[in-house]
Amino acid sequence: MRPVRLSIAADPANVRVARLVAVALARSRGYAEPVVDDVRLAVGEACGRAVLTHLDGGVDAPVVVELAGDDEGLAISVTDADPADGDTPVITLQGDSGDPADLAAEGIYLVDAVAVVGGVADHLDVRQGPDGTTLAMRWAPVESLPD
Amino acid sequence: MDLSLNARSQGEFEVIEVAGEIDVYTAPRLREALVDLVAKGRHQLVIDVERVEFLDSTGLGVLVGGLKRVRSHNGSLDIVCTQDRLLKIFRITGLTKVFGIFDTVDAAVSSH
Repeated sequence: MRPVRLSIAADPANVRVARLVAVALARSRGYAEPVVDDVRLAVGEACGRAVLTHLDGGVDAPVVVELAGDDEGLAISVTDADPADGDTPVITLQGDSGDPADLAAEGIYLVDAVAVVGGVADHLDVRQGPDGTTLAMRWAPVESLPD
Repeated sequence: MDLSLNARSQGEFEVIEVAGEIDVYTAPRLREALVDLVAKGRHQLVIDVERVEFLDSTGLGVLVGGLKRVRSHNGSLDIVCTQDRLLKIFRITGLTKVFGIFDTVDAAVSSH
Protein backbone atom coordinates (compact mmCIF):
# COMPACT_ATOMS: atom_id res chain seq x y z
CA MET A 1 0.00 0.00 0.00
CA ARG A 2 1.33 3.42 -0.88
CA PRO A 3 1.46 5.86 2.05
CA VAL A 4 -1.35 8.27 2.79
CA ARG A 5 -0.49 11.83 3.80
CA LEU A 6 -2.99 14.14 5.47
CA SER A 7 -2.39 17.82 6.02
CA ILE A 8 -4.93 19.15 8.49
CA ALA A 9 -5.50 22.69 9.65
CA ALA A 10 -5.08 23.12 13.39
CA ASP A 11 -8.79 22.90 14.18
CA PRO A 12 -10.06 20.52 16.88
CA ALA A 13 -12.88 19.46 14.53
CA ASN A 14 -10.30 18.02 12.14
CA VAL A 15 -8.94 15.54 14.65
CA ARG A 16 -11.95 13.32 14.08
CA VAL A 17 -11.17 13.22 10.34
CA ALA A 18 -7.69 11.90 11.06
CA ARG A 19 -9.13 9.27 13.41
CA LEU A 20 -11.59 8.10 10.78
CA VAL A 21 -8.87 7.74 8.15
CA ALA A 22 -6.65 5.82 10.56
CA VAL A 23 -9.49 3.48 11.52
CA ALA A 24 -10.33 2.84 7.86
CA LEU A 25 -6.70 2.03 7.11
CA ALA A 26 -6.34 -0.29 10.12
CA ARG A 27 -9.50 -2.18 9.18
CA SER A 28 -8.38 -2.47 5.56
CA ARG A 29 -5.15 -4.06 6.79
CA GLY A 30 -7.14 -6.68 8.68
CA TYR A 31 -6.54 -5.62 12.26
CA ALA A 32 -8.97 -6.88 14.90
CA GLU A 33 -11.32 -4.36 16.45
CA PRO A 34 -9.45 -4.02 19.78
CA VAL A 35 -6.35 -3.00 17.79
CA VAL A 36 -8.44 -0.68 15.64
CA ASP A 37 -9.65 0.94 18.87
CA ASP A 38 -6.02 1.43 19.94
CA VAL A 39 -5.15 3.01 16.58
CA ARG A 40 -8.17 5.33 16.86
CA LEU A 41 -7.17 6.42 20.37
CA ALA A 42 -3.47 6.86 19.56
CA VAL A 43 -4.10 8.95 16.44
CA GLY A 44 -6.74 10.99 18.26
CA GLU A 45 -4.35 11.70 21.12
CA ALA A 46 -1.42 12.53 18.86
CA CYS A 47 -3.45 14.81 16.60
CA GLY A 48 -5.22 16.45 19.53
CA ARG A 49 -1.87 17.20 21.15
CA ALA A 50 -0.51 18.63 17.89
CA VAL A 51 -3.58 20.78 17.23
CA LEU A 52 -3.58 22.19 20.76
CA THR A 53 0.15 22.84 20.46
CA HIS A 54 -0.44 24.82 17.26
CA LEU A 55 -3.33 26.77 18.75
CA ASP A 56 -1.38 27.49 21.92
CA GLY A 57 1.68 28.64 19.99
CA GLY A 58 -0.18 30.53 17.27
CA VAL A 59 1.26 28.25 14.59
CA ASP A 60 -0.57 28.62 11.27
CA ALA A 61 1.02 25.64 9.51
CA PRO A 62 -0.95 22.41 9.23
CA VAL A 63 -0.46 19.25 11.26
CA VAL A 64 0.83 16.43 9.05
CA VAL A 65 -0.35 12.85 9.47
CA GLU A 66 1.35 10.08 7.48
CA LEU A 67 -0.07 6.57 7.41
CA ALA A 68 1.48 3.49 5.86
CA GLY A 69 0.72 -0.21 6.01
CA ASP A 70 3.21 -2.81 4.83
CA ASP A 71 4.65 -6.21 5.74
CA GLU A 72 6.20 -4.68 8.84
CA GLY A 73 2.88 -3.51 10.16
CA LEU A 74 1.08 -0.22 10.43
CA ALA A 75 3.09 2.98 10.79
CA ILE A 76 1.46 6.32 11.57
CA SER A 77 3.27 9.54 12.34
CA VAL A 78 1.86 12.88 13.46
CA THR A 79 4.07 15.94 13.09
CA ASP A 80 3.46 19.40 14.44
CA ALA A 81 5.22 22.54 13.25
CA ASP A 82 5.81 24.11 16.63
CA PRO A 83 9.47 25.16 16.65
CA ALA A 84 10.29 23.74 20.05
CA ASP A 85 13.90 23.58 21.13
CA GLY A 86 15.32 20.31 22.33
CA ASP A 87 14.82 21.16 25.98
CA THR A 88 11.10 21.86 25.70
CA PRO A 89 8.94 19.07 27.09
CA VAL A 90 6.47 17.47 24.70
CA ILE A 91 3.61 18.41 26.99
CA THR A 92 3.61 21.64 28.89
CA LEU A 93 1.74 21.18 32.13
CA GLN A 94 -0.67 23.97 32.85
CA GLY A 95 -3.00 24.77 35.68
CA ASP A 96 -6.75 25.09 35.52
CA SER A 97 -7.49 28.74 34.86
CA GLY A 98 -11.21 28.21 35.34
CA ASP A 99 -11.87 29.62 31.90
CA PRO A 100 -14.35 27.33 30.11
CA ALA A 101 -12.54 27.98 26.84
CA ASP A 102 -9.24 26.87 28.29
CA LEU A 103 -9.64 23.21 27.48
CA ALA A 104 -5.97 22.48 26.97
CA ALA A 105 -5.10 23.52 30.48
CA GLU A 106 -7.57 21.13 32.04
CA GLY A 107 -7.25 18.31 29.56
CA ILE A 108 -3.56 17.92 30.03
CA TYR A 109 -3.48 18.86 33.66
CA LEU A 110 -3.16 15.31 34.82
CA VAL A 111 -3.37 13.25 31.67
CA ASP A 112 -0.39 13.15 29.35
CA ALA A 113 -1.55 12.56 25.79
CA VAL A 114 1.83 11.15 24.79
CA ALA A 115 1.69 8.65 27.64
CA VAL A 116 -1.69 7.47 26.37
CA VAL A 117 -0.25 7.01 22.86
CA GLY A 118 2.61 5.03 24.34
CA GLY A 119 0.09 2.89 26.17
CA VAL A 120 -1.81 1.79 23.08
CA ALA A 121 0.80 1.72 20.29
CA ASP A 122 3.13 -1.27 19.95
CA HIS A 123 6.02 1.13 19.54
CA LEU A 124 6.34 4.90 19.92
CA ASP A 125 9.18 7.21 18.98
CA VAL A 126 9.05 10.89 19.92
CA ARG A 127 11.39 12.96 17.77
CA GLN A 128 11.86 16.60 18.60
CA GLY A 129 13.59 18.85 16.13
CA PRO A 130 13.95 22.54 15.41
CA ASP A 131 10.94 22.45 13.08
CA GLY A 132 8.57 20.51 15.29
CA THR A 133 7.81 17.25 17.04
CA THR A 134 6.91 13.92 15.46
CA LEU A 135 5.10 11.13 17.24
CA ALA A 136 5.86 7.99 15.24
CA MET A 137 3.63 5.05 16.14
CA ARG A 138 3.82 1.49 14.92
CA TRP A 139 1.72 -1.63 15.27
CA ALA A 140 2.92 -5.14 14.50
CA PRO A 141 1.58 -6.84 11.38
CA VAL A 142 -1.63 -8.80 11.81
CA GLU A 143 0.12 -12.14 11.26
CA SER A 144 2.43 -11.68 14.22
CA LEU A 145 -0.20 -10.60 16.69
CA PRO A 146 -0.70 -13.02 19.58
CA ASP A 147 -3.81 -15.22 19.50
CA MET B 1 -20.99 11.27 15.64
CA ASP B 2 -21.24 14.41 17.72
CA LEU B 3 -21.70 14.65 21.45
CA SER B 4 -25.08 14.60 23.17
CA LEU B 5 -25.70 15.33 26.82
CA ASN B 6 -28.82 14.59 28.83
CA ALA B 7 -29.04 15.51 32.51
CA ARG B 8 -31.73 14.27 34.88
CA SER B 9 -32.19 14.31 38.63
CA GLN B 10 -32.31 11.12 40.65
CA GLY B 11 -32.85 12.14 44.25
CA GLU B 12 -29.93 14.27 45.37
CA PHE B 13 -27.90 13.03 42.42
CA GLU B 14 -27.62 14.53 38.96
CA VAL B 15 -27.19 11.88 36.29
CA ILE B 16 -25.55 13.04 33.06
CA GLU B 17 -25.98 10.62 30.18
CA VAL B 18 -23.34 11.21 27.55
CA ALA B 19 -23.44 9.78 24.03
CA GLY B 20 -21.15 10.11 21.03
CA GLU B 21 -17.51 11.13 21.02
CA ILE B 22 -15.70 13.06 23.74
CA ASP B 23 -12.56 14.52 22.21
CA VAL B 24 -10.61 17.73 21.82
CA TYR B 25 -13.49 19.18 19.78
CA THR B 26 -16.49 18.19 21.89
CA ALA B 27 -15.02 18.09 25.41
CA PRO B 28 -15.61 21.84 26.00
CA ARG B 29 -19.38 21.19 25.88
CA LEU B 30 -19.11 18.54 28.56
CA ARG B 31 -16.97 20.86 30.61
CA GLU B 32 -19.49 23.69 30.33
CA ALA B 33 -22.29 21.33 31.36
CA LEU B 34 -20.39 20.24 34.46
CA VAL B 35 -19.48 23.82 35.35
CA ASP B 36 -23.16 24.83 34.99
CA LEU B 37 -24.37 21.99 37.21
CA VAL B 38 -21.88 22.82 39.95
CA ALA B 39 -22.84 26.50 39.70
CA LYS B 40 -26.47 25.46 40.24
CA GLY B 41 -25.51 23.68 43.42
CA ARG B 42 -25.58 20.15 42.03
CA HIS B 43 -22.57 18.52 43.63
CA GLN B 44 -23.48 14.82 43.52
CA LEU B 45 -22.82 13.82 39.93
CA VAL B 46 -23.03 10.51 38.12
CA ILE B 47 -21.74 10.52 34.56
CA ASP B 48 -23.04 7.66 32.44
CA VAL B 49 -20.70 7.02 29.48
CA GLU B 50 -22.25 3.74 28.35
CA ARG B 51 -23.20 5.29 25.00
CA VAL B 52 -19.89 7.05 24.47
CA GLU B 53 -18.06 5.73 21.41
CA PHE B 54 -14.77 7.52 21.91
CA LEU B 55 -13.03 9.16 24.86
CA ASP B 56 -9.59 10.77 24.84
CA SER B 57 -7.35 12.47 27.37
CA THR B 58 -9.03 15.84 26.94
CA GLY B 59 -12.31 14.19 27.91
CA LEU B 60 -10.64 12.54 30.88
CA GLY B 61 -9.22 15.92 31.83
CA VAL B 62 -12.70 17.41 31.86
CA LEU B 63 -13.90 14.60 34.12
CA VAL B 64 -10.95 15.20 36.45
CA GLY B 65 -11.76 18.92 36.45
CA GLY B 66 -15.38 18.12 37.31
CA LEU B 67 -14.25 15.89 40.15
CA LYS B 68 -12.07 18.68 41.53
CA ARG B 69 -14.99 21.10 41.41
CA VAL B 70 -17.51 18.87 43.19
CA ARG B 71 -15.00 17.76 45.80
CA SER B 72 -14.43 21.40 46.73
CA HIS B 73 -18.13 21.34 47.71
CA ASN B 74 -17.84 17.96 49.46
CA GLY B 75 -19.56 16.40 46.47
CA SER B 76 -18.86 13.35 44.36
CA LEU B 77 -18.46 12.43 40.70
CA ASP B 78 -18.84 8.79 39.73
CA ILE B 79 -18.62 7.15 36.33
CA VAL B 80 -20.92 4.49 34.88
CA CYS B 81 -19.01 2.43 32.35
CA THR B 82 -18.77 -1.22 31.34
CA GLN B 83 -17.12 -0.77 27.93
CA ASP B 84 -13.68 -2.33 27.80
CA ARG B 85 -12.33 0.18 25.31
CA LEU B 86 -13.20 3.08 27.59
CA LEU B 87 -12.14 1.31 30.76
CA LYS B 88 -8.76 0.72 29.12
CA ILE B 89 -7.98 4.44 28.94
CA PHE B 90 -9.02 4.89 32.58
CA ARG B 91 -6.58 2.09 33.43
CA ILE B 92 -3.72 3.43 31.26
CA THR B 93 -3.95 6.81 32.93
CA GLY B 94 -4.34 5.44 36.45
CA LEU B 95 -7.73 7.09 36.83
CA THR B 96 -9.42 3.89 37.95
CA LYS B 97 -7.97 4.82 41.34
CA VAL B 98 -9.39 8.33 41.19
CA PHE B 99 -12.98 7.76 40.06
CA GLY B 100 -15.61 5.43 41.37
CA ILE B 101 -16.52 3.38 38.27
CA PHE B 102 -19.76 1.43 38.38
CA ASP B 103 -21.74 -0.89 36.10
CA THR B 104 -25.04 0.93 36.57
CA VAL B 105 -26.40 4.30 37.71
CA ASP B 106 -28.20 2.62 40.60
CA ALA B 107 -24.95 1.02 41.77
CA ALA B 108 -23.21 4.41 41.67
CA VAL B 109 -26.00 6.11 43.62
CA SER B 110 -26.31 3.35 46.22
CA SER B 111 -22.55 3.43 46.88
CA HIS B 112 -23.01 6.66 48.85
